[in-house]
Amino acid sequence: MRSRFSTMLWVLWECGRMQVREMSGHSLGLIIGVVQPAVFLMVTLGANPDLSPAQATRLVVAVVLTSLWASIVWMAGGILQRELELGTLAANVASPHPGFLVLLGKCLGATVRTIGAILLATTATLVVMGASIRLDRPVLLGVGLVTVVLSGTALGMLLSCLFLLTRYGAHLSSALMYPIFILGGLMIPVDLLPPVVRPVSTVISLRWAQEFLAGAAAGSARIPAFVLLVGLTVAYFAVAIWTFNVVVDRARRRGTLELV
Amino acid sequence: MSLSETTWRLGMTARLGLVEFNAANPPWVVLTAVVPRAILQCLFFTILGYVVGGPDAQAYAFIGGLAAILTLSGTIAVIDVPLVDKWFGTFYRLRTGRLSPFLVFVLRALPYPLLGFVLTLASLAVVAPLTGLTHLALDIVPWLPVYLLMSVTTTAAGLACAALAVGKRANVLVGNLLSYLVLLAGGVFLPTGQIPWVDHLGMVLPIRHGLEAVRAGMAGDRWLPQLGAEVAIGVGWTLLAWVVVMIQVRRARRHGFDDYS
Repeated sequence: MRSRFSTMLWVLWECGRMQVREMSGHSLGLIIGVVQPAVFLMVTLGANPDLSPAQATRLVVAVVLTSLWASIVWMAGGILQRELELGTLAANVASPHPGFLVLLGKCLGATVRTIGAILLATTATLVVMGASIRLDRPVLLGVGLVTVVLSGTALGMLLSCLFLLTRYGAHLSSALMYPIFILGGLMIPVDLLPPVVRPVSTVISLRWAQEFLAGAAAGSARIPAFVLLVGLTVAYFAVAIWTFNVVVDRARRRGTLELV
Repeated sequence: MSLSETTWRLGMTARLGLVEFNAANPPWVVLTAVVPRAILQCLFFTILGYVVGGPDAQAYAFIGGLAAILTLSGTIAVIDVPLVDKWFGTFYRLRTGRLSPFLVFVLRALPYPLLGFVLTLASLAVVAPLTGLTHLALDIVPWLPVYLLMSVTTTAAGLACAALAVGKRANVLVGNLLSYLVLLAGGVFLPTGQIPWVDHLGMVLPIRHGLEAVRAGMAGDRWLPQLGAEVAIGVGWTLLAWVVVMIQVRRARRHGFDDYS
């Protein structure tokens, strides 16, 4: 008989695998995971061919994280909404395993697939453009990347729960994308923004991921940024699981699980 | 059909297009989601221009960003026009009607270039003061009719792509892909002459020649040839849309399928 832990891992694996297969036929995944990073890189690197390798590296990291944010909003954020539309949400939360495990596995699958596509598209674009970047601390970059995947998963879970509370998820997705592009401290440095909106980026884990990854690529270990990235990721997970349980409990009490 | 009857049919079709547009894009959704998104997109690319290349690149990106947001309505949203007939199974009624199906699509698509132009006006009014480009915005004002023209040519391209994509269930892919291609090769952010194959691609895309006309006109150079090229590109995309719809009508009559396949 399987242990509880191995059963949980199996649930996560199967849900992740299912999400990856579901996304393989999704054209928006292709746009956000491949077309968007390639176009962003070509227009920014092409507009200023005199960028130093360090500046180009910072820009590349920012483009990867920007595309990841778009993917979280459009793909992972809509997972529970799609479960609801397909009529499988009630079955998930009534299964013997905790309902959020399914969401966790699916968000993890979505994030892993997207970041894989973004990295492939980024590499291909850099090769085509003949741009050179720095990758001085590969181990730190690897650690940072794994943490980014976990952070993206947590953000996806959180947004998915929030989008479940409204029928205007698509409009919310659209409304959330560019504010973080501008205020998130990714492609646009925070010090270029008015002081009043600068604090917004401090609660966005991708901003600290940007600092840590860009630093690791340039050869420095920015531990405070990594600590903030991990801390915010843990906080996102905690809030996402709490929100999920609140939403599902409320729906069970009202007998509206199929409607939420 | 008499002239008055034809005029009545054209008017009713255009009115239907407006009702359809309002149902899919109620004013409160346009005001709270579509317009803010367009403004934020333009703001993002304008600030990014400064990050990448300083004040000159920022001004370049602002002029281009005002045109890039035309794709939100002209290439992405306009796909709804043929798509609703597929969803509701009403294409057979179009192809057996008195008006040509292509003409019906064109009339129903009329609100989209107007929406695109409204997005440009809103972005011009909001982004310029936020980025310290008010003087540039005033210089752009006389060239707003060119932006309206670009909105029309973009919608023509969007309609052609919609006609090509809707039967293959590729409407999301094609509309967004065209939008990103315009961003890449339309002279929006990336100046021409940087990447040769991108320049070649841009030659057949809407917005590229229109933006060249605006930039040339603002610099005091000749701009009519570029404007003519933008009109020609728009006519080319319209002809493509017409041919694709005619082929779909012929296939539907022959095979009895009304799902644009």
